[in-house]
Amino acid sequence: MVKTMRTWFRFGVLLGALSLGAGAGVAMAQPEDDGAESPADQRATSFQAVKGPTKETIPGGTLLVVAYGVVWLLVFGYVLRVGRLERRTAADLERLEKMLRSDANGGANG
Amino acid sequence: MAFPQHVVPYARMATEPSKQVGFPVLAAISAAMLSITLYLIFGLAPVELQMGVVQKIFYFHVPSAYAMYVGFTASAVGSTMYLWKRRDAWDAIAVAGAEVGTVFCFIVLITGPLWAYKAWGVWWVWDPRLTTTMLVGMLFAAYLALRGFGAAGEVEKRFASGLAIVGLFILPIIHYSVQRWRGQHPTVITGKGGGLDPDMRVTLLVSFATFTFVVATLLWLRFRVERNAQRVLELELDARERGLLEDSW
Repeated sequence: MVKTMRTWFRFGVLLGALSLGAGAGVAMAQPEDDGAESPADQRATSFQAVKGPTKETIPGGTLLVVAYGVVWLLVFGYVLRVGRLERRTAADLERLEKMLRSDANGGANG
Repeated sequence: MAFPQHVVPYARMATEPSKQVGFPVLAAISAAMLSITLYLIFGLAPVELQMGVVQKIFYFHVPSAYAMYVGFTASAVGSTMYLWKRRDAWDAIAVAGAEVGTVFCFIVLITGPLWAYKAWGVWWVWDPRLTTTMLVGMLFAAYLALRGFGAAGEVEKRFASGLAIVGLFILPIIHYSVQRWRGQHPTVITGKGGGLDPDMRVTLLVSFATFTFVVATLLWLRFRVERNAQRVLELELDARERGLLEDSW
């Protein structure tokens, strides 16, 4: 029983070592630059105008509309938020000014 | 008890904004420039050969990154000056810059993946420029969260100032990351770029000018509001000292 377990354990260790070795071998066999990343001088450096009709697989128009929608939403949402904050602080200033003025007038009269 | 003289100009400034001519003019120029830019993007600039119509995101994406730089730089400069001089006006500049910069950072981080999905087939990659942009966005989001806990005290202001200054050091890393490290981000206008169609170049330059006006308008607006908020806090303190307001803090 113990001998069988030992055999299975040795088999497992061997299998593990082989798996690690195979993984490392495959990784080593890959070219250093797998195409996913490239140095700055090998990447796109120009945008050129299209000539003639084109056909797209990914809907660029939808992505463009969403992008511009997000820009407008964020900019105008922010302007509205700051505008609301400005109105609130102006109202607070007016309220506090009245409060302090009436207190000062009361103090001066009294 | 003497009436505090500084109350009158504060209130006048807040309740009579019509006397400030500069801001409405700047806002009007920004709106007009935005209209012109939109016309150029969709009317003049041609469709790009490889990516198609989605490349037009470029005309808002890149100037938004520039506006982000302006906002975060203003925040870092304001923070540095606040730590040095301890004047609230500098702190207001820092807050305005951080908030406006974060808005444009969000725009960059949302429009970029929309373009990337078409160009690269994935929404996001851990490219150096993308990663460092997200990092600086998170840093200034932390700044705003710290300043957002009601009336920020002196300790919060100083700590937030430190964050903004750290953020300033990340900006050149973002800018030069496409040249120094491997990645996927295009290098059309940085590094060895410059390969833009003439109509595309005109549109991009006008867009940069437009975003200069837009970011200046937003910074001015937010600075003005922050200054008023600071004055509200000062007057509230005054009123509390006179027993006119109940202590609620």
